[in-house]
Amino acid sequence: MAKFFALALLGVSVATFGATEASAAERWTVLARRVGQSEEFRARAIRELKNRKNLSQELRRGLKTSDRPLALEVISALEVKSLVPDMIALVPSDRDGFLILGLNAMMTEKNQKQILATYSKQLTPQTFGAVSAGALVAILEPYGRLGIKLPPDSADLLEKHKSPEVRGSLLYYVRVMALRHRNFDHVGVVDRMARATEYQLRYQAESIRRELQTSRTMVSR
Amino acid sequence: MKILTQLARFCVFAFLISGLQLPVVVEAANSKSSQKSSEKKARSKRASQSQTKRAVKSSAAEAPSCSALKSSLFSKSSIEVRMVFGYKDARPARFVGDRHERLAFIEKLTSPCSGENQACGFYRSIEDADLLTKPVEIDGRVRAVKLYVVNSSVGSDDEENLSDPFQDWKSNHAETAFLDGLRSSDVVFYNGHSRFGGGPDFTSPKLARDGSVSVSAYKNNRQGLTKLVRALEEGRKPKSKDYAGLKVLGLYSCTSSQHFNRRIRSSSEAGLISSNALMYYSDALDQSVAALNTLLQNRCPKSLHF
Repeated sequence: MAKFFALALLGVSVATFGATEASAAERWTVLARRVGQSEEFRARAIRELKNRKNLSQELRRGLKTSDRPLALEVISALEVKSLVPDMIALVPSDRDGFLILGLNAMMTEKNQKQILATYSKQLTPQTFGAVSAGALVAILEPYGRLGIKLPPDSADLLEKHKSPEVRGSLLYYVRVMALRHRNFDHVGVVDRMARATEYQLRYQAESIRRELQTSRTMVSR
Repeated sequence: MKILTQLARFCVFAFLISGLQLPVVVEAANSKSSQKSSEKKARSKRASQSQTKRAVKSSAAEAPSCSALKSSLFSKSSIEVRMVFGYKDARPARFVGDRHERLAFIEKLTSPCSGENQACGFYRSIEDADLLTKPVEIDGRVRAVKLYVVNSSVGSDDEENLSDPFQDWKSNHAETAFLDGLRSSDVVFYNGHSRFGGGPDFTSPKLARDGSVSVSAYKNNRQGLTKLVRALEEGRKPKSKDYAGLKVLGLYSCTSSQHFNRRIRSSSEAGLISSNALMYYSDALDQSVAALNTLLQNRCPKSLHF
């Protein structure tokens, strides 16, 4: 699968903090912040990271600490596939969705089934309540992009979620499924969201409704 | 190296590191759910007393500009803050991340409070998905804080966004929120791209032939900055007599100091938070929450310059 998305995620910058040049013993977290810097900085940082003996262990630890964003950065930059199982194991604990976004970026034809199976487990009635809004929004992203149907009952759960961002992501998923993959399983969501209390969701639903009408008109011709 | 070329090259923003104050950013909700309300009230009272003591202590040492800012910010019964995320693409990769950052920001602000943290405990509006509110006690008086949190992208794929007619609405909505905030709000934060000085920007980027962001398109036409400065100047001639102007402008974007400060300074007396160093996006999110927390505790962030 083409890697469309940079795992630099949301901005890969270097915290210089007035720092001097990297030393051989520099912490991996300092180097990780340089991965998204200018070409020269990034190339040097990546070289140094690759030469670190216990990098995988450091990254494995980093995934479980506040250094998680940096660990994800390095895992993606260096394509450390050996840590995908560790990332999968941490999916249930992802509070902001950034780990799942990182996993999305590491998705390949080989591991796609396993990753999506993990996401499906988060979308069951039994587990759904414990999944953060950020994680749900991140989980929905590959479903739409790849044209994958949601697990049974999950669309209902997403539609009733208190977070308008989750409901908006469901709308986005329905749009992509209908327009890109000609799947209309959940288009009823659009009509119902057109009556949402939040005006942003109503506007989004109306926009999708118009697109679907135009699309159907073109198909029928 | 293929993956490396896909890495986001943009900088989220940075702060004046040397001056950055780092108040505690409270972690997730307190896990104990069985606290009695009387214990909670007693703790709240102690926290309030200690906060008042600290406020008195800090005011003795603070700069006149900080005192003036706080006086202006909390002179009314309500305070309006706007946090606007620009269109955070990662070109030449297709990923766009501002909606995820916005949600992470909202999750922090709506998490339960503990200790003296004030960047928490916000309620969400039922009618307006961008609006969060909470009451804050300052010098014994309750102020209503209205916080608008807006982002620019519809989805996480720039290519898909370009074909989505709702993207135009989102971009216009974010830009309007930002510019209107400069004219009529108390505090405005921008978190997004500088676009080589052509920002702030709330739309999909103009691209060069190789798929990277076109430097010349933004350097030659600094539309974002022009609109920003015009809005600041309009805010100096407000329609409402009650509006005393923008108090704080935070520009969390790459090297915003170099790109924007000079023009902004000639158009506004607002306190400025800007960047001449680089910071990782997650650090930047934490710092914007921290700056908001500091302000709501009736203190001036050390990163704030007048």
